[in-house]
Amino acid sequence: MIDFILLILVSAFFLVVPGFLTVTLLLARRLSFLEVAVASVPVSFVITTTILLVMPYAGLTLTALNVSIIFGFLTLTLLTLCWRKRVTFAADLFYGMSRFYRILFFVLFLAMIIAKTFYFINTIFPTATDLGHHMYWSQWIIQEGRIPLYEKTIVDPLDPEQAATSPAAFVGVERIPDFIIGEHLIFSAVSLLSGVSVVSSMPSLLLYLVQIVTILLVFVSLFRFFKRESWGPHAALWSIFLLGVLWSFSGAQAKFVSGGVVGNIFGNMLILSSIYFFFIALTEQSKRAFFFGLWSNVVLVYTHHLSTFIFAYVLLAFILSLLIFVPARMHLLRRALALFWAPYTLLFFIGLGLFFFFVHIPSYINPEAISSSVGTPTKSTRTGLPLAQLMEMAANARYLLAIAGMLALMSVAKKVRTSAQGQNTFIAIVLCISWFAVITLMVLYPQYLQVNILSTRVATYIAYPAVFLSSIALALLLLRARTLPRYLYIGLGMVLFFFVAVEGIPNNIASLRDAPAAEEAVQTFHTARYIGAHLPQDQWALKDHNYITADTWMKIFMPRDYSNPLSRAFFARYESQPRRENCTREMITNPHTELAKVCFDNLSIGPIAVDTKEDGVSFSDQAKFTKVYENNEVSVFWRKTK
Amino acid sequence: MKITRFQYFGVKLSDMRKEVLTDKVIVCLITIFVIASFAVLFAVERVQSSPLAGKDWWSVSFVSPLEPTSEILIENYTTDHTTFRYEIQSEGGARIRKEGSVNVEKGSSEVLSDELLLDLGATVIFYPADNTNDLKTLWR
Repeated sequence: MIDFILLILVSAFFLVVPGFLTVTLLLARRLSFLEVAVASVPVSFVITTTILLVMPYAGLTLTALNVSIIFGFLTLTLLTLCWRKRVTFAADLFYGMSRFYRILFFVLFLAMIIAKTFYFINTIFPTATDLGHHMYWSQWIIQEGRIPLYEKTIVDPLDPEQAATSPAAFVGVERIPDFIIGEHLIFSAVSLLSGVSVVSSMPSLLLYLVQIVTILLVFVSLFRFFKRESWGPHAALWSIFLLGVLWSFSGAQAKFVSGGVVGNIFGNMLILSSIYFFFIALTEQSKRAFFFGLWSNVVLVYTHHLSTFIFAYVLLAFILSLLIFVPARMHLLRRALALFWAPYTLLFFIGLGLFFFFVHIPSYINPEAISSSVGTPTKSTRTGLPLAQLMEMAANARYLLAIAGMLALMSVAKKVRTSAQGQNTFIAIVLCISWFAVITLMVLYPQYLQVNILSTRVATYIAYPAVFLSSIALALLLLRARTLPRYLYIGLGMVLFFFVAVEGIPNNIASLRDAPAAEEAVQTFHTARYIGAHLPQDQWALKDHNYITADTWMKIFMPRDYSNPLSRAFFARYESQPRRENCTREMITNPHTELAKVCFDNLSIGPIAVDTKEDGVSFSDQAKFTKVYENNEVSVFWRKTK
Repeated sequence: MKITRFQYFGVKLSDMRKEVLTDKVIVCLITIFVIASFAVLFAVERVQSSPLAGKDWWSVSFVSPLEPTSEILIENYTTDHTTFRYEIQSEGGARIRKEGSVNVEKGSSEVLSDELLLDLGATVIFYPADNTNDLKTLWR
C-alpha cells in the first residue's frame, strides 16, 4: 500500500506537477483547466527529461538526493510564482456544453479505462522482450547515476565466411543507435525516488498514463481545433470512442504499452502535444505556446527517432499545404516567423545548439543512420504496403471514415477559406488532411518521399490522424442529417455506431491475451538473481531465448554489459543471417563438441541457464559441468574450468 | 437561446452557472478513475510477482556455486509440500551414500548441510516426499 502511494506521488512529482505549474504560469489565460491538466503530462515529461539529461553534464550525479533537491526546488519556485501571480484559467473547455455531453464524456472515458484495465490485468506482469531491453538501461542509469553510452560488447565469428563452423570471440564494442536517452530517464527517476523496482508494474503503468493522456490530447485538440464549429465537440467525443473504447488494444494502443514499445508511446504523445501547441501558437499568436511546441519537439528528438522522422514529414507537409492553400499566406508566414522572436526562444535555440553539438547528440544522428533512412527504399519491407494492408492496420472502418472525413472537410474548407472568422478552422482542416495524407503517402508510396524505413512501422502512425478525420466524419454526418425525421436520424446514428462497432469490438476481443506466464517469469527472475549474485567479474553468463520466459529481463540482475548474459537467439536467426556467430547456439545445443569447447573458452562462459526439459539433458556430463541450481523451469549449469 | 432537439449538446447560459461538472470536477474524477485503475493493476502485478501467491514451484541451489560447499538451499513455494526427501549419491549415481528429508515451510527456505556434498562428483536428488516424480538434481 505504501509502495503504491509512493509510486503515485513520485509519478505525479515527475509527470504532472512540473508541467501543470509551468503551463498554469505561462498559458492559463489561454487554456481551460482541463486543457492545462491534460497538457501537464507531456510538458512535465519534457521538463523532467531535459533536467535529468542536463544534470550529469553539469556535474550532478543522478542520485535520489540530487534529483529530489533539484525537482523540489523547481516545484517550490513554480508554486511560489503561481501563488504570487494569482492565476486564473480560461473558461471551462466544456463551457456551453450540456450535462448530457459531460456525462457522455465520462461514460466513454470510464469505458476506456475499464477496457484497458481488463486488458492489462493479463499483461501487467513484466515479461515483454522489448521492455526488458529498455529497463536494462533505466536500471543502469539508477546504478551509475549518469547518462549511458548506448553500446554493447559484440561477438563475431573468427571466420565470417564459415560462420556456422567457426569459433567466435569478443571483438570489441559497438554503438546501439536504437536506444535513445529520453526513453529511459523517466523510469529511472521514478524508481530512484519511489524505490519501486523497474522489474515491476511501474514501467507499464507510466506508459499507460502516457497513453491515456495521448487520447485526451486528441480529445482536447479536436475540441480546440474546431471549437467554432457546432460539430467540433461532437467529433471530440467520437475520438474517445474510436481510439479509447474501440480498437483499444491493437495498433499503437494497449499492445504497445504491454509490449514495451516505449519510444512510440512517448513519441505519439510528444507529436500530439507539439501539434497542439503549434496550433495555439499559430492561431492565437502565442509565443509561449510556440515555445512549448518547440520544446516538445526537441525532447522528441532526444526520445524517439522514428517519431521525429514522421513528425518532420508531417510538419513539412503542413507548412507546404498552408503556403499553397491559405489565401493570406504572406500574412500567415509573417505571423509564424514572428513567433521565433522572443528572448526565451532565442536563448533556448542557443542552449540547444551548444548542448546538441558539444555535449550530447542523440545516438541515432549520424551520417550512416540518416542515409540509411532517407533515400529510395530498396528492401522489399520498405517499398510500401498495399492499400488494403494500410487500411487493416488503421482499422478498415476508421480508414474509410477518415477518407469520408477528408472529403467532408474539403467542402467545409471551401466555405471558411476566405472568411476571417473561419481562418482557424481552415488551418485545422489543412493540418488534419495534410497529416493523414502525408502518412498515407509515406506508407503507400515511400519512394516518392524518399522514405527508406520499414513501411509497417510507419503505418502505425496512421491511427491518430485517421481518428481525427473519422471522428470529424461521424460528427459532420450526424450534423448534416439533423433535418431528417427523428426516427431516421436515430436510425442513422445506430447504423454508424454498428459500422464501427462491428469491426472494433471483435478487434478488442481478438487482441485480449491469455493468462500471464507469471509463474514461469518469477522463476526466471529467481534464476537471474542467483546468477547475478555469484557471477565473477572474469566470467560471462549464457542463457537461452527460445524457451525461457522473460529471459531479456535477466540482464537487469547482472548489469555489467548489455550483452550479458549472452543469448542463444531464435533458431531462425542463425539461418537467416549466415555471417552471424554460431557459438551461442552451439554452446547450448551441442555443448560437448570441439567447437563449443573453443567457444566456451573464448567467451569465458561460466553459468549457463537453460530450460530444464528442453536443454537440460545436454549438460549431463558431470565431468564438464556442475549443476548448481534448478527450479521447475530453469536449470543453471556452471562450466568446470579446471 | 432556444434549444432545438438537435442541439442537445448546447445549453443555456443560465444553466451553466448551476453546472456541477466543471473542468475541475471532471479532472478530479478522471484522476480518481486513473488511480483506481492503477491500484488494481499494481495489486494484480504484486500478486503475480509474489513467488508464493497462486504458484506451485520450488528450487534447490548450491549456496556457493563456485567454491566447494557443503550447503544446499531449498526454497519452497509449492501449494502442498513441506517435506522434501534427498539422496546423496556417489559420482554417476552408482550408489546412495545417504538419504534423508528436510522440512521446509511454504514460503520459506532451509539449508541442507552435509560434508558428503564436498566430494567432487557428488550428486544430490531432491523430491517432495509425496511426489517422487518431481525430481530436481544438483551435482558438483
